[in-house]
Amino acid sequence: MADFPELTQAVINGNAKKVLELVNIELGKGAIPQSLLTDYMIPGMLHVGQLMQEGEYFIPEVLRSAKAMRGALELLEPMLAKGADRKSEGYVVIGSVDGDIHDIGKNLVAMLLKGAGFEVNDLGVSVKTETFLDAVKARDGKVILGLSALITPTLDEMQIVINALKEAGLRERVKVMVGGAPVTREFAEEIGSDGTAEDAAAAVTLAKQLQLS
Amino acid sequence: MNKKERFQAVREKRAPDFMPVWPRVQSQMLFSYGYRLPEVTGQDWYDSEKVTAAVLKSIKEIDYDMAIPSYVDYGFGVPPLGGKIWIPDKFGVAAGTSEDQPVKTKADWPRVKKMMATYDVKKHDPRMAGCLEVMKNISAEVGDVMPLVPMYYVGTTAAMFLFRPNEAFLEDLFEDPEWVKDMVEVATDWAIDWISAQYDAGANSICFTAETMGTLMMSPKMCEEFNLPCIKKLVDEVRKRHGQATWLHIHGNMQTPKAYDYLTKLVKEAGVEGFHFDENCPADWIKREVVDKLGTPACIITDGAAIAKGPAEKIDEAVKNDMTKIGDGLGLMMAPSCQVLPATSNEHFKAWVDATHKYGKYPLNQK
Repeated sequence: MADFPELTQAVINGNAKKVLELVNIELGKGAIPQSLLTDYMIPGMLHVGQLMQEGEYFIPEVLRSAKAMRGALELLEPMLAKGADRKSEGYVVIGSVDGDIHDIGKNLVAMLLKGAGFEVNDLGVSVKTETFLDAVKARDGKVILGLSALITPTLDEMQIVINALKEAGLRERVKVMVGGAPVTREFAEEIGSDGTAEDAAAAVTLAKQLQLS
Repeated sequence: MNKKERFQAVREKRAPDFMPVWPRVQSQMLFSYGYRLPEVTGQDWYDSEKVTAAVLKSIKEIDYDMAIPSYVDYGFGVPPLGGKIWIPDKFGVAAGTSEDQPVKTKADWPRVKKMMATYDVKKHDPRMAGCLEVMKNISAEVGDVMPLVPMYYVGTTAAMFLFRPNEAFLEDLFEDPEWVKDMVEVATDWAIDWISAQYDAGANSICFTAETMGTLMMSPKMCEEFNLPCIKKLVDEVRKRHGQATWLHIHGNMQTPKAYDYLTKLVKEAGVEGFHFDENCPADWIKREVVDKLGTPACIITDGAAIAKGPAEKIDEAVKNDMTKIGDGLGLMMAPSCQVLPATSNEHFKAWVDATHKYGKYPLNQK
């Protein structure tokens, strides 16, 4: 097993108390909030994603790490907001499509994306097409739109959202990633999305690729 | 051979006349009959006449080799405990749970646990009473020549569906494992009673239970800790009370060493008789590692996309291809994918069943 710094290891272990304690100690010593996030916590979440892909971690373990990360982020965010040089990997709007109230997969992706340095606007579950469009319109420049569905009848909604983006003239600046148990690579291509991923960790890799494309 | 004899041959790893086919879930049957779920059930009602008609029509027209009238509904038992279930108006989706579950925080648990101690599975939930009525009706109609199978979930899956919002339950696994064990035990006892009630109503074959979190959402180690004892208890009780064996539906890739070790324990320690996997386990692996090595009969999963998309010729080809991968094919049954689109037409399902019966004639793949 790789030897990680204590804070990174605490994120990997999902030890929320320890993560918060270490962040406070480091801040007390004058550490830069952005550095704590970028150099220690994000590598921890990326390793969690890798462990998930390797079949070592499963959803409960990832949720535990994401929760530990979230606790520390709540503390760091006001400080990060004050800093002018906050780095962002990109901007993601994400939600479960209209009619689908399932959110575990979507939440995991959102948490891993945040952990990897993306700004994430999570619209929740059963999100109407116009709500997705409004969220995209509210942001200039490139936007990654993540559409999630667990149940097959709501898959059609993904196509509806993509069509609506085209009709609104937004498709050029929006990269659409689709995901959820019933989504196959063939389906993702068929509806004209920009890609899908096998799991939450792979979704982060995909988002990075889409951001660069 | 009649359908019961055909399934019995699979269970004993003898050659049936042709490979039998596991049915698609009930919500698909309802949709193909022209019903949407809110037309047949609500929070506290269940139209057993309509459900019976849809299930019977599906059995007759598509020629499935088994009937499981309670498969699949995630919401049984929940409303009387104070939860609200989700009854989608979209075609072919099962009734499910929502965030509005009976145990929102641990403070709710003593109340719910107390209710569970006196829960009468035949009376307290009108939806379950309606489902038992369907079981009676189907039993009267199909007689003793077709496997009529009772079904409910077990262990963590049962506890999550009955009590807790999904994500909260997944967090409980780490934050309060002793509480999870308590919920899982109570849910499993309830599941055993619910399955027993289905036998009393006319089920005549194996018990079918499902652990859908499987190795998809939990590690094999967690499965072993939380679910193995529950599955063993259910298997033992069903054998003791009804003289029947149990088949398990489990999600996830079972091919990794740790998952396979868990699978072995399910057979050797818990006494599971047969398996129904998901798309993560390929047919040739199931035949080699499960049927031949563990000696356990199992379902192979067909290409769900082929069934959903059609046309019939493509479905025929997919099934023909499946049959070339499974050697002598003994101990195997064909099953639909969990991910077949609910709107899939009856014609596609019929083409799939017909192709299985056509290419699945025994002896298979003789050299």
